[in-house]
Amino acid sequence: MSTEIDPAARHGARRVSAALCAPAAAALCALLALCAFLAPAANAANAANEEELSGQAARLARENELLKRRLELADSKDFYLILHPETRTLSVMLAGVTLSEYAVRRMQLALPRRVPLESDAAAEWADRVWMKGVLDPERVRDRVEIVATGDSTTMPEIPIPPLPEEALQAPARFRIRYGEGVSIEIRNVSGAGALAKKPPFWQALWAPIRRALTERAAARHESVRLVLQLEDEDAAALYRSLPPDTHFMVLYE
Amino acid sequence: MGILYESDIGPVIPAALRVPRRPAPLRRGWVLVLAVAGSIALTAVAWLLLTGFAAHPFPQAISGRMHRWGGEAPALPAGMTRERQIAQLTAERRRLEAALARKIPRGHYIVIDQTHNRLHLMRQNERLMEAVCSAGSGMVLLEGSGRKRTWVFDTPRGVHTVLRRVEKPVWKKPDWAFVEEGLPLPRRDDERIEYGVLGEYAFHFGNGYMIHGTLYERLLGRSVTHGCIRLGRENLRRLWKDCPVGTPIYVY
Repeated sequence: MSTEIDPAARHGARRVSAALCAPAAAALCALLALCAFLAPAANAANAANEEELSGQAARLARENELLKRRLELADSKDFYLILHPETRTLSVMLAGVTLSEYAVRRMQLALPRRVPLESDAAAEWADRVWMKGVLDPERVRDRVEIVATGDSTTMPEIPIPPLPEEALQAPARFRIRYGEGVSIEIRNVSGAGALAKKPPFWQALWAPIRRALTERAAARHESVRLVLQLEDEDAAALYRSLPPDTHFMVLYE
Repeated sequence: MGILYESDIGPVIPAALRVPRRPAPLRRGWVLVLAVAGSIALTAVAWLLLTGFAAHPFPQAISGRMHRWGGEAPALPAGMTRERQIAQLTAERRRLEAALARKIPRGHYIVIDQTHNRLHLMRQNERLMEAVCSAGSGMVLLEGSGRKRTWVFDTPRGVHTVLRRVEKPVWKKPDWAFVEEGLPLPRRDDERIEYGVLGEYAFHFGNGYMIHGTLYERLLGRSVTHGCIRLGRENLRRLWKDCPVGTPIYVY
């Protein structure tokens, strides 16, 4: 038994398939065009995603590096200062424990005018641990010396010492100097300190000039100065009690 | 002798009308001095403006710089994806944070500011008690005769630990206590014993240093000790309650 197909029907079928093929081809072309159009966009999205992931990896790597440094400091026997720019606090620490904490009223970064702010030197210092800070002006502790005579009747009487606030006057501003020209300058709010007594007229006239000259002389050896303003009592307390050779780190996360 | 005409000597002005002129050399001298002084002043001002330090707000001024400069992603090892690397870095951060957190004692600990004569009883960064104490005087005692020893009465800075707790402590006076009073050193140990001077409790933290009570509470707040930490009675009782052997002591 054979099936005969009507030629007219065959022709009709061809027409139908041609009618169906044309939109399909058009759709295919449109799809290809869309793909061609979207491919760069997809590539761009991938690149953006990769960039975001790279940024995240970089941030994590930096945070880990900071944590490692903090851990190294905490493992040592030395005292260290940590500045938290976000919480505006300066902490004196030992072995990972905060011994005292001071609120920082104002923070400034002072750079020699020859160093532009865009320079790497402006930011690079903040990623390091600065070792063995030296107080300037030096804190001089008056020690009472008693020579024992071996005779109780001639032994000198031991004086009752003054309160620490009376014994050690803190200046209105002082520095903690580190190697390679980095220093922290601590200023109190009122600008008054032990060194700010009212001087005679000529001295008052000469003092700012002398200070400017000294500053400029110092500027030759300084590369970065971080200026922190503390409450008067805090600045004085820090000056009196800062342990010697204290390290310093900025916790910039 | 030639003939002198008026045009040669200028107009003839009567002496009464002549304006006295300042001597020219003097005026030139002043101009010169002013010019030099002005130049020096300008140079000085320029020098002041162009040298020295310029202040910028921190950290805002270098925020972008810091992020950019810290923005180098670590290199990817072969066969590792960025996601995997981030997971590793995150795990490492957790480990480091935990290690840092472990540095803070779990229980109570003592922080002593020997400059301002303050003792803080702490737990997990929380201040439970602040007490006025007395720390080392910093006095230097020189032995005038005999062994010519020297003692410096400082409280040692650093991390210490409560090694031993003693109730009703007895003071065994060291040599310096006799030297300081100009007394001869005793031959027998029992002559060194003194009762009641250390208060109710004592916490030994090594090398003869202690936190203890005192008979002279009026001197608390002043640096009068030989290196030990003196504390008032009530505060000492609180320490006795909260600080077992092993309690860390941080002195700065």
